[in-house]
Formats: sequence, C-alpha cells, structure tokens
Amino acid sequence: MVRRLFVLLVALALVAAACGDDSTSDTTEPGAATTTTAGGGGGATATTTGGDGGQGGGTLAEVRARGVLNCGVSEGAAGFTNIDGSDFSGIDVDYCRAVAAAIFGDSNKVEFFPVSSQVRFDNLKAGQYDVLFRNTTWTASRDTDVGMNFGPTTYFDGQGVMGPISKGFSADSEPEDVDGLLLCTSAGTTSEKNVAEWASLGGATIRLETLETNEDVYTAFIDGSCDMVTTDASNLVGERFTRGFLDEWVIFPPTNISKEPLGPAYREGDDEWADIIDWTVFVTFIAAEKGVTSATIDAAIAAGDDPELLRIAGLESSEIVADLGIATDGFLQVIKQIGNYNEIYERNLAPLGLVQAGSLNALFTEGGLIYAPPFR
Amino acid sequence: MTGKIILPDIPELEFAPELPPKGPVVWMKDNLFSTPRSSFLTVVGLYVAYVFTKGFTGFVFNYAERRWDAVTDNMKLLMVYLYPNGTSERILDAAGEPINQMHRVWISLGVVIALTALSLVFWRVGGKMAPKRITRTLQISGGFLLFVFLGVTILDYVFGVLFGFDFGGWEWQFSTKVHFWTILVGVVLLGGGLLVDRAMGDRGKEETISVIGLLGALAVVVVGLLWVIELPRLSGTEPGAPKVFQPIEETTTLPWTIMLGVAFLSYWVGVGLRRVIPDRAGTRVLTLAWLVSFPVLVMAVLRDPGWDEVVAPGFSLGNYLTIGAAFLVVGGLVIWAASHPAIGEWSAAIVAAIGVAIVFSWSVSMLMFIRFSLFAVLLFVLGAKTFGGATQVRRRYLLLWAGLMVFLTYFFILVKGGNTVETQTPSPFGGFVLTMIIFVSVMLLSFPFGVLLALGRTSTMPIFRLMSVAYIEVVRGVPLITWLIMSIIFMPFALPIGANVPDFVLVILFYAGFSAAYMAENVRGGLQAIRAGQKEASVALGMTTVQTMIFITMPQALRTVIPALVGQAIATFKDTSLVAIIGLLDFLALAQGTVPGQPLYRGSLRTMLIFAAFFYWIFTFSMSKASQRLEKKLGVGER
Amino acid sequence: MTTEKTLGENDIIICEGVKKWFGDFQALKGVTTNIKEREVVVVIGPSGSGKSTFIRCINRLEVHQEGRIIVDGVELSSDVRNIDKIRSEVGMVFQQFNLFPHLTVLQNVTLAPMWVRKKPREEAEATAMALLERVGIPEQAAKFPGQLSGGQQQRVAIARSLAMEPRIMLFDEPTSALDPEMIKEVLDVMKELALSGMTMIVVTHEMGFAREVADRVFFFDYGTIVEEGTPEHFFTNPSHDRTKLFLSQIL
Repeated sequence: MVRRLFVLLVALALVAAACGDDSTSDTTEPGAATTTTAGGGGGATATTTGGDGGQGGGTLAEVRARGVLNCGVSEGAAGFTNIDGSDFSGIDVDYCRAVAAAIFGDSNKVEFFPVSSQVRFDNLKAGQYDVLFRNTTWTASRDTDVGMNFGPTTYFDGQGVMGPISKGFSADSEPEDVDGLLLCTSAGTTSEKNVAEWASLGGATIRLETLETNEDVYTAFIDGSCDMVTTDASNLVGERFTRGFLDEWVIFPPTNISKEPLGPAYREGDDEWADIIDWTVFVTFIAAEKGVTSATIDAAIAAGDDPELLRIAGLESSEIVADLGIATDGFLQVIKQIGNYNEIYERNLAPLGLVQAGSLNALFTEGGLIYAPPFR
Repeated sequence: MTGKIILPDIPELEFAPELPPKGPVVWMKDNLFSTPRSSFLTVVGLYVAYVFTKGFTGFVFNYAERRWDAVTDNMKLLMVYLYPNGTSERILDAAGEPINQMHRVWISLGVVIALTALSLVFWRVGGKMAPKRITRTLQISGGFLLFVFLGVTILDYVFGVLFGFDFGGWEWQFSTKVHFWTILVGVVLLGGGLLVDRAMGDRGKEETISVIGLLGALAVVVVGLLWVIELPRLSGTEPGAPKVFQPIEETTTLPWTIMLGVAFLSYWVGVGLRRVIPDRAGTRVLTLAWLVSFPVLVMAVLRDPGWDEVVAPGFSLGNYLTIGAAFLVVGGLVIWAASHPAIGEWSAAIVAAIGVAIVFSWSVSMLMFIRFSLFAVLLFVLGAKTFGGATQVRRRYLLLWAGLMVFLTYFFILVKGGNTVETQTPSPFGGFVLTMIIFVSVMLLSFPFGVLLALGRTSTMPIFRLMSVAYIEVVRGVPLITWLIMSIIFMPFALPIGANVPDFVLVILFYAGFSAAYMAENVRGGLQAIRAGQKEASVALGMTTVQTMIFITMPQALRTVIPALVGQAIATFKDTSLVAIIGLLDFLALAQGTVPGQPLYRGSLRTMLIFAAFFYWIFTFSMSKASQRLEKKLGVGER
Repeated sequence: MTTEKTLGENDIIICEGVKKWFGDFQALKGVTTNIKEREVVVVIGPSGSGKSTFIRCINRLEVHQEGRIIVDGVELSSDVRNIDKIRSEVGMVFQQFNLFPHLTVLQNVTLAPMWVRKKPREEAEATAMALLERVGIPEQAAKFPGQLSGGQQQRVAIARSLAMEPRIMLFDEPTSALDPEMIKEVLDVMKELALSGMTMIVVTHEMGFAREVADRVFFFDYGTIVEEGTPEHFFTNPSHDRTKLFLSQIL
C-alpha cells in the first residue's frame, strides 16, 4: 500500500505542478492568452456573446485578442479570390485586407480561410472566421433562416446574354432584338428559363437549345450555330476574355436578368462588428466618389478642404471613427493601403474585361449603384 | 502368385517437347477469333477502344482547350500550396525582403528520399527482371502509339471520308509535326523492342536486369530531361501572350538533381552500412526512423525549425522540459518497479493509481502533455508483465520508455511552439503536401485503433465486443463525406471553449476513426482465418493471452490481410480528395477549383482533372505494385 | 519390455472424477487416475472416446466441469495466474504440429523461453540449438516450418515444447498426420525422451510404441478409462471385452 500511495502522490504532485504553471487548456495557441472562463479565442464564444446583443466584447474583442482577422474567402473565383503559388488576390481578398487595415492599421494582419460554398455559413457561425467575403449573394432566406447578416454589396452581378456584334447585337439589345434566335445553354442550369421569361415579357420568343457541356455550348457559339449564350454576367465576361473575343462579343441587356448582389456576410447579433465591416466598405465607396486614391489621399488631407474626408481620416470629429471601436486612423489606413472602390475594381476585375463604366458597379454619380451614406 | 519386374531400369529424364513459337496470325486466331462469339467481342472491344482513345488522346494532344501550361505554371501551388517561395510581396522578413522557405520542403523531401533508399537496401527490395519484360513494355507502348496516331487516323479517313460515317469524338487534326514525331517514336519503340527481343533470343527470358538499377536509370533520364527540356513560362498576364523559357535557377531542375544525388548517395551508403550492420538491426532502426520522421518532418521541417519561437513569450519551454524530465525519471522508476518479476499484486495497485491520476487529469484543466504522458506510463506499466522480466530485458524496456518520453517532449514543444511559416492562412499545409499529411496520419492513427477494435470485436468479454460492434456498425453505416462534414461543422461547437483546432486536424481525426472501422473488419477477417491450433500451441507454451496476440495471432492475421489493407490504403489515399468538398485545399481542390479559378487559366478544368487523375494513379499504382512485392516476400514460410 | 528407470514416489498428476461436457454431449464421465513422476502413460482407444479431451484437460486447453485435476501440486481452477504457470510446466505436442508459420524454426523454439521464462536471447538460442541437435535437425534452424517435411515439423514441435523445460509432456496423436515413412523418426525422438525420464502422456494408435515404451497403458472408451495396466498385461491378456474388441480391430 505504501507504493500505491507513493505513486498516487507523485501523480498528484505532477498534476498540481501543471495546474500551477498553466491553467489554460493545452489546445490554445500561444499568444491567444485566453482562459477557459473569460472566453475569447474560439468560436463558441462568438455565438454566446451574440445572444446578448453583441455589445462590447464580441467579435472585435476576439479579433483584437487574436491579433489577426480571420476572413472566409473562395477557393478560387476569378477576380474575387485568386490563389496563385505565392499569394491571395481579388476583390474579396482586398476587402478582407481593408477590414484588417481598419482594425489593426495593417492590411497584412489577416488570415484567409478558403472555404467551399457548402460550408461557408456554418463555418462562419462556428466562429472559424469573423467575416465572409466569398462572392456570396445576399438573399432574404440567407438573411433570416440561415442567420447571416449582409453588408453593403461590393459587386452587382446578374444573369446576362452574350452574342456576337457581327450578328447585330449591342450592349443595349432588347427582347425584340433576339426574336426567333437560338439561345444555347449547358445542361443542368435553370438560367435559360430566366431568359425565356425575359424575352416573352418583352413580347419576343426565342429558341432554346441545351447542349451537354459548357464546352459544347461555346464550340457551337463560336462556329455560329448558336446565336447567343447565357449565364452570370461576370462569367460571360470571363469566357469572352479567356477565349479572346473581347472586341467581337457583347453582353446585354443593360440591366441584368437576375439579381446577384455580392458582398460581405457576418454573424447575426454583433452590431459593433457589423458597423466596422459596413463602414469599411462604405469608406472605399466615398473615397472613390471623391476621387481620392491611395496615392492622393495624403495630399487631399493636407489640402484640408473636405471635412468629410477629414472625418474619415479621423482628423476631425474623430469620435465618429472611435465610436466604431477602431483606431481613429483606421479608415485612413484602409484608403492608404487598399485604395478606393474604383482602384480595387480596376486592380482585380478590369483585367478580366469587366468594364466598370456604365455597369451597375459604377458609382451612383456615374449611373451605377455604388452608393454610400454620408460620413458624419 | 509371384511378382513380375516391369521396369528393368530407372528411365532417364525426358524434357517436355518444345513447341514451335506461334506466329502472330496463329496467336490472333487462338486468342481473338477462336469462336464467332469471341470474334464479335474482339471487334466490339476494338471499336470501343478506338472511340475512347480517339476522344481521350484527341483531347490530350490536340484539343484547343487543353492548357498544359496551367499544370506547369501552378506546379508549386499544387504541391505545397502557399508555402513561401520568395515571390510574395506580403510575406516579408525583418529586412523587408520576401521570405523564401522552400529549402525546408526540399530538405524534408531529401530525408524521405534518403530513408527510402536506405530501406531499399536493408529490406533487400527489388530483384532481377527479365529483359523480355522491358522489351515487351516498349513494344506495347509503341504499338499503342501507332494504333492511336496511325490506325485511328486511317480508320477515321476510311470511315469518315470514304464512307461518310461520323463516329463523333473530339476534333482529330494533329499538326503534321506531332504526327510525324509520334509515329516515328512508335515505330522506334515497337521495332526496336522486336529487334532487341529477337537478338537476345532465349537469353531475354533470363532474369538479368536489376530492378533497382533500372529505376535508377529511369530517374537519371527523367532528371536529365529536366535539364534538356525547357519549361515555358507566361511572359505577361494576357492569355496567348508569347512564352519565354524559365531560367534554370527559377525551376526545380537543380533541387531535383540534388534529390537524385541524395538518392544515389544514400543507396551506396546503405550498401556500405549493410556490410557492417546486421539486417535485423538496420531494419529496426529504419522502421523507427520512418515512424519518427513523419511527425518530426511535419512539425519541425515544415512548421517550425527554430527555438526562437519556442522560447517566445507566452510559452514556457522550461515547463515542458521539467515535466518531460520528471515523467522520464519518475515514470521510469514506476515502470522499472512494475517490470520486476516479483511485482505480483503490486502491479494492479500501480495501474489503479495511474488510472486515478488519468481520470483526474482529464477532469480538470491540465496540459495535454501531462495527460498524454500519463497514458504512456499506464501503457508501459500494463505492458510490463508481457515485456519485462530479466534485467537485460527490463533495461531495454526502460530505454524504450526514455525514447518515447524524449519524443513526446520534443513533439509537444513543437506543437506548442507555433508556426514560423508565414502564409496568411491558418496553416501552411495545402496541395499535395496536405493530401499526404492526411493520408499518412489517417493510416498511422487508424491502424492501431482498427486493430484494437478488431480485438474488441473478437473478444470474449461482452462489454468490449458490444462497444466495438456498436462503433463499427455506426461508423460504417454513415457515408465518409457525412463524417467529414460533421467534423468541421459540429466539432467547433463540441470542443471546449478556446480550443482552436485547425480543420485539417479534425478531419484527420474523424477520417481515422472512420478508416479504423473498416480496418477492424479487415483485421477481423485475418483473425478468423487463423487456425485454432495456433492459439492453443501458444498458450500451451505458457504464453499469456496478450503475448499470444502480439507474437502469434496478430502477425499472422495481418499477413493474411495485407491485400485488403493495401486496398484500404489505396482507397484512403484516393478518398482524401473528399476533403475538397468541405473546403480543405488539398491537391484535388486546387486542381479542380483554384487553378481553373485563376483569371489566366479559366477553362483549364479538364486539363487539370486529367493531370490530377494521372497524378493520383501514379501513386496508387506504385502502392499496388509495392504490396504485390510485399506479399511475395512475406509469402516465404507460408503453408 | 520393462524400463530401466525408476518411477518417482510422488503422483505428479492426480485426477479425481473428472467430468466434461460439450453442450449436451458428455466427453468425460468421471476419470480418476494418478500418474507418477517419470512415468510414461500411453492412452489408446477408439476415436471419440475422450482420450484427447482428457489430456487437453490436463493443461486446461479444455476446462473440466466437475472433479479435480491436480498437476504438480496445483489444482487447476479458474484462477488464471496458476494456469500460465502450469502450462509452462506442461509441454504439449499436437497432431497437426501447430508450428508458428511466420517464424523460423529457431524463433519457434526460442519464443516462449524468451518471453515466458524471460531468458536472454543468447541463452535461449543456445538451448534451442542443443534441442534441435537432440531431435536431429539443427541444420533446419533458419528455415520456415512450411519448408520442412511433416516429420521434421513434428520434431521441431517437440523441441519447442522441450525448450520450456517442462516436467510433463503431453502428446496428442503426434504421428497421426504423418506419412508412414516419417512416423519412425518422430517415435524415435519420443522414445529417447521417455528413456531420459520425462513424465509423458501419449495419445496414440502406435501399438508398437506402447508396447515398447509405456509403463502403463490406458484404454479409453465412452469417456472413461475402461482398462489400465502394463503393456504386457494389456496386449497379452486384456480383461475387458471392449479392450479385446478394440485390440482385435487394430492389431
């Protein structure tokens, strides 16, 4: 029995020593410096704090404690999230960096979680990442049933039709222009129904042909046996670009057939966090509106003739920025490091042939939908 | 009645009559057109082969949308994902220079290659091979090329142009250059193979060519080609922009050449070592090296090489060293006592005490290191009766304990040490590296667990049997993909607050649990195949149930189920690609999602899928070949 | 023939009213006998008579349900600690040899001494080689059982049992699975063993062996010892009708 007691004592001594040294669970990463009672770090905390209105302590506190923003992005979507051998890029990636710049003043303090469309909302709710920029369409059911909240739309996508200029199509083509023509789609999509609906509303009828694969569709389209093809406008633009028909094909109608507003999504119930995301996006809109870019913002502030810009930069009425819970120069860093909306668009989407001018994604001053509330 | 001598002398040996070699026409008549039915099947089979190869090779060699540059340009991404290679402007060191840590990947690959070469030596892998097999392979590949590039074109011409049939399929217009060279290669392979075959005659059937030598020569040729063939690189960001060739220093040519050198060097070092080290000691050390190398490479080389992170604030290295040393000494004393032949009843008391300590350690907040170390002590005390005994044996047992403790301490320090590979993602693992990590971890974890489940299932104790059966049936009854999705959807909620376990770790744990259930059923099959006499003979010698299991039953059971286990390993390897669905960027996810999602490579999906399929096939095919060799080798001494 | 050796004073195996059932079938119907040290007992009888079950009960490969079996002073009961000890004292040779096919001959012989007797490898291997010498096949040490003939395998099996330095050896029809020309080589080894003073219980149909080597012969039928006696008595003047019938059938 002596030996038994001895072993027990040794074990207890080790246990006691361990407790004294480090009371955290071993699975916590160093630097997170969380305790099991105080919360933070993990996902479960986010959902519990979400319940009490998200005032104080919520996601922002977690992000600050972690020292880095976790951002959900796509595994690969041209223009939105691009992963090459060395880096992330794309409009969604730039907005993740913008949020990091707003919170930390450093657009590099972000970790990207490439995530599939199936699990993107669940992982967000589980707290794997803090915000989701993953060309996600804002819909009513996602806003309610799924338990997401959506921020300002950063890209207005929608279904379009593409046809060759040589057959008389133009960017302003209307239903009457397609009357009696052949529209091709690939099997397994419902998009041809939208087009048929759109045509019949305009009093026209079109012929539909469903081919086996996307490749068959474009083979037929290029050799002229199909007059038109249809899918998401951004996709059409990409195909036109990749196949080298930038100057020969045109996408219409001017207003897309279906609405696909893409923007950030975050967990319900954390208003403080929502405000930071929303206003980070809005600030890039406002800067674009004012024509202030990452290169010119210093000069624009020095000129000092735009009070709204000074407020954004935290140099006047700095409590507006501070009330959001970020450093007063947070938004200044967003513009400095990431740029305004037009810059982001030019950098990521223009190379794909997605022309901003005249599209829904132009600023409201230029006839588009990009519009931000006043910053005051 | 008296007997009668029938045979005055023992007859001389006669050789079996030598049949004259069959001509190709006779061969075809015998094998392809022996009956009307087989003639019909031959024609149908040839037609199917014609249509398929036409479509497939048409895509690979000629189709306008093939984008092999998507493969070559993204090779680094596909293999090691975002591992810093000095091209990112966002991953900078203190001096503001882009960080390049690729040498760590190459070092770890070098270690694996060196271990492989040494293992080839010490396990005496690879024998001799008849030249005839090589020439036959050459003939077959030459014949295939000619069939595709000459035969199919002629058939197409005959049917399409002369008779007006259109069998469909991909565009079938090769450039004259491709056609010429391919047909030339086909003729050289087929003709050369036949000529060499004829020149060698019967000598070609003798096994004279060393398999290892052949593989070595092939490796030299492949690496040599890297120096000769220049890989194109896109010069701009526009598609269709003119290509320039990559300078050697930007390609992987040099590292691969070094790897080849490492392989040859290790092989010859191994051959030298074998002269001084007995095979048994060598293979033991190598087995241990393989087991240790995996976690150490993953953690140390791919994750954290330096102590600077380990001693960083917020992490106390001292604690880990102290605890590790304490366990080494105190645990060692306990184990030393428990393995004493006269321990008797005390053994149960020690086990009970450690059991209490373990329960306590899990019920309060406690370093994972201590919990695991307590488990290790328990295992060693439980095994003491089986493996202890004479002083010499006990000393060796204690040495094993010391080794394990050193390894555990090192491993936990690394796990806690954090990550020095900057990638702007939660883990630097992705691409083929992630595929391999998942595969190897799942196999390593599921094997012992599966064996335990199999033992539980065949156990005479109802509680173990019931638990095992329940586990196996529940786990096998639900599709793998469901478990994988659960692992990342549910587990974050089930884990304790503050636990921030990476996705791929959860996936590995769930996948290993799933794989173990199948492993258990395979092993159970092996256990049932063992004759009852084996167990009886073992216990009749006074061996305990555990000893019988370890030395008699398990080795035999595992031997009989090697084909099944390899089949499972291959399935596991392929099924790692399911993690693509839940958003882990493994090899397939990058190939089918990320690369075709790059602006420059839109439309490269088909190309990438063909490449991915080929890549997976190379590995599964090698595994299957290796298992055939293993079976042959272990077959020695079987009934 | 009478043996030169003298039997021990003590009963090394004591059986009292041993009964054993397989389901409803009663295999042993109350076996009572004592066996002395250095005694060689040959058990004969028709198949299904319970003779194999009897010797399998002695090292508890089968568990008897009633009666007492005392081996070397230890009663066989459900106490596990005793049973490993008993089994290491009682060697057993099986009809089907039951060598371990995944181990070499040498490993077959050294395995139990190393892990049960906890002998160092060198010592175990030296003993094993001496035993293989004794059974006449030292040159086969590095081979696997599958490469040996049946007679050689059975001799390895005997060496394997002897390596544990048992006090009692049980033979369960050791030659029944052998080709006729191999039976002698095994019987020779067993004879040599018997003459060396080993306590042996041999279930066999080799009447020549029984006549030549046995100190006592048991005739088993219907789960009991029908008749026992010296070989001389047994083969010249059996008293029981069943014994007479059995002997007339096989001789």
